[in-house]
Amino acid sequence: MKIETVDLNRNNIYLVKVAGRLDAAFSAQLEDEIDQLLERTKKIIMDFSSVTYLSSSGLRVLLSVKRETENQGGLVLINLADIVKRIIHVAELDDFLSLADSVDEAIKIIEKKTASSS
Amino acid sequence: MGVTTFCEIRSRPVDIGKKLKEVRRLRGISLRALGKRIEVSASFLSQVEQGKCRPSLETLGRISAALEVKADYFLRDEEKPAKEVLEIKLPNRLKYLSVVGSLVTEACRVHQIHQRDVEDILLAIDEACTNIIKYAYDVGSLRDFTIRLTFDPGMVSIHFEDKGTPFNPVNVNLLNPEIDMGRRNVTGMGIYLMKKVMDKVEYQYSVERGNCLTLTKKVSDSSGSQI
Repeated sequence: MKIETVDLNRNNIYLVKVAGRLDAAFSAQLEDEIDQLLERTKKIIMDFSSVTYLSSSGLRVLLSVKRETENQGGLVLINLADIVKRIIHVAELDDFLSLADSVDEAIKIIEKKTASSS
Repeated sequence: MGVTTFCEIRSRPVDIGKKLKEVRRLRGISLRALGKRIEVSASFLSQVEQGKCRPSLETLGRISAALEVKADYFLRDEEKPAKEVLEIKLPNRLKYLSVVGSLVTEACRVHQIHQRDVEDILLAIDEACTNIIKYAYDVGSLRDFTIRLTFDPGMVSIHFEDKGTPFNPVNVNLLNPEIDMGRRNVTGMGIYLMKKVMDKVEYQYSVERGNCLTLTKKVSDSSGSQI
């Protein structure tokens, strides 16, 4: 699994590009990377366009990041493959996790949330 | 004088043609080559394969000999055809989850299983394997477990066996996935997903075989219709 973090230079929003299978073998690695990032920001967009699979271990990481960032910007997932969407749907978390189709849309979601909470 | 009643019990006719084609292809022999060997025409053999005519017992005997199958092979009516079973033995290491994923994806593709069902099967297998790898054995000990996939028409079943600590996932229940998921290291979510995507989850434990978990799912073919 590959993880790449980019500062979008806009309101401290970071883009995390994740590639590979987000299963039990790699969820700990993602968690470690995100834990480091959380010290810098609570506004995170995760680009899942290269994530080929997501299991409950990966979902658990996403939910914990979501909880930790919720009141200060939040977590938005973008470009999800069908299989990943399906797993989120099976877990009944469609409404709980914020999903978007592009970076711009994700930025809007985060900025709207930050504006309303400040 | 008593009346004799003849009662004919008919079994399902044996499909000689289908069996012939199957064995011939398996042996890699063309219609012409087989015909030449047993001194009948290729077109006659082709008609037999299409079920348009039946060979005499004598010809059938020669066909059996040429294809190296038992003399009664083409006449035997197997009530239950052998099932196609795929068995994988895996070390209890998480890095093999992706290997299982690729293998199961390919196996389902070969069996023309609908994409939606494949996704469900992948999820259930991944969660079951993760549980075994993470919790069945002592941390760090290198052990193995087996996965057996059985493909039946319209049905896939996956059987897991490990010799680790007895653990019955059927008894694990989640009432609120959102709340339970928030806690770290909750094993229940995987089991919840596994139960949700499969039609049946059965568990048995025996001293000889250890934990035996069987997941079953009705599946459609890739066009979306029930097989």
